[in-house]
Amino acid sequence: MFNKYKLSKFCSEQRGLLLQLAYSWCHDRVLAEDLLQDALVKALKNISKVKHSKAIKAWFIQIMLNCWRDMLRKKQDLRDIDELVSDDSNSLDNDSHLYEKLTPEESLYQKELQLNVKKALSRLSVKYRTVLTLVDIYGASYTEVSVIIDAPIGTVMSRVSRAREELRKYLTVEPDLERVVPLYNRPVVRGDE
Amino acid sequence: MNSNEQFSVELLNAYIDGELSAEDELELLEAMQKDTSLLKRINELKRMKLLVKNTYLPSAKQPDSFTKYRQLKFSVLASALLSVGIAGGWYSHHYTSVYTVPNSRVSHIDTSLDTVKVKEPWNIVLHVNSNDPYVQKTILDETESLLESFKQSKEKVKVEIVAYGKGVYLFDSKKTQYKQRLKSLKNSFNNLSYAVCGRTVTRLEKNQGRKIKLISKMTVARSGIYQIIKRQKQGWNYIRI
Repeated sequence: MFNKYKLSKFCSEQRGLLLQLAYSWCHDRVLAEDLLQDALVKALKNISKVKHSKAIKAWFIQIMLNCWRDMLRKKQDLRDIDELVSDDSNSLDNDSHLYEKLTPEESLYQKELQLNVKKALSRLSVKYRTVLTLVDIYGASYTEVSVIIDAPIGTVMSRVSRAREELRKYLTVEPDLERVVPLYNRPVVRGDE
Repeated sequence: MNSNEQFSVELLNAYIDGELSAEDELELLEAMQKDTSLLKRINELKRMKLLVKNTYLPSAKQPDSFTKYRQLKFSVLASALLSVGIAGGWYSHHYTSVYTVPNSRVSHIDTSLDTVKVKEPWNIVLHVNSNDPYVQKTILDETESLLESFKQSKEKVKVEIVAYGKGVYLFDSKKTQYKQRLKSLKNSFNNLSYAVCGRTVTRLEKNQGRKIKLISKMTVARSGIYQIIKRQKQGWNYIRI
C-alpha cells in the first residue's frame, strides 16, 4: 500500500535529481523549486490513486510534467532563453567557483560550453526536450519514459534520436568564433614580442 | 554490408542509453571493432548524452565526479597499456587509433568520453565442454544464481555460455536434457547469451552423418576457444566451473 510516508521518502531521496530535471525544463532555479513544490502538493492530494509503490516514479514525474505544461500555458513569467546570460545567478550552481578546482580559462570554457548546451536544449521542442531530459538527466529507462509520456517505446526511441540529432546540429552549426581563446593558445604574431 | 546502414540511429541511441538486448549489443560491438566510422558516430552520440548530463549536474558535486573520471581514465589507460604489452603490435594500434583525443583543448567532459567505451561492466563468459548432466546442471545453476544476484543488485552484467567439445550436446535440441531450462533462462534474462563452437558442430555432423539442430536464439562462433579468447580481449571475465 502506498502512503504519504513513502512519497516523502521518495521525494527526499530523489530531490536532487528531480530538481535538476525541473531546472532543465524551465532554466530557472526558483521556478524549478516551485515546479517540484507544486508537483508534491498535487501528488499528496491524489495519493490514494496510486495502487502500487513501484509506479510512483513515473506517476510523480507525470505530475511534474503536467505542472510544467500548465506553467507554459499560463506563460507565467518564464525567462526567455536570451536572458540565459553567463551571469548564472539563477542557476543551480551559482557558488560553483568555491568548489571548482579549475583554472580561470578552464572554468570559463566550461561555463561557455554549459551555456551553449542549455541554449541548444531550450531550442528543442517540448516533446523532444521532455524525452531527452528524462533519459539523460533523470536517467529513466525507455520503458519508464514511455509510461510517463504515454506513448509506445518506438516513439520514445525515435524522439531520443531526433532530439540528439537536433541538439548536435544546434551545438555544431553555430560558429565557434565568439569563444574566448585562452592566451596560451593564441597564435604568436611576429613583432608582438 | 556497410554497418552504417545496418544499424539505425534509434538502435545506436538505444545502445548509448543501455537499452539494447545482449544479442543486439554483441552484434553492434563486433561491428564497432571493424568499422571506425560507426565508432565515431557512437562516440558523438555519447558526447551529446554526457554534455547534457554534465551541464545539469550541480557544480558542488562536479569535482568528485570529475576526479572519479580522471581516476577511471588513469586505470583504463593503465590496463590498456598492460594489454598492449601482452597483446602486441596490432592490438596497440587498435587502441591508440580509437582512443586518441584529437583536440588537446577539450575539457573534462570531452576527455571523459574515451573512458566510456571501456567502462563496460564486468561481463562473464562461462564454458562447457562436458556432456555430463551433473556438470551441465551445475553450470546452469551457477549461471542462474549469478544472473539473479546481478538482477537484484541492478548491475548491468552480461553472461555468455560457450560450448565446445562434448559440451555442444547441451545445445543440441535432440540430445539435451535441459531444453526447457535453457529456454526459460534465456527468456527471463535478456543479458544471457549462448554460443557454440562452429568447428565442433561441423565435426560432429560429419562423424555422425546427421544434421545437428541447435536450440533457438544462439550464436555459432568460429570456434569455441576463439570465442572465449575474443571475449577476454573485450574485457570479459572467463570462469571455469
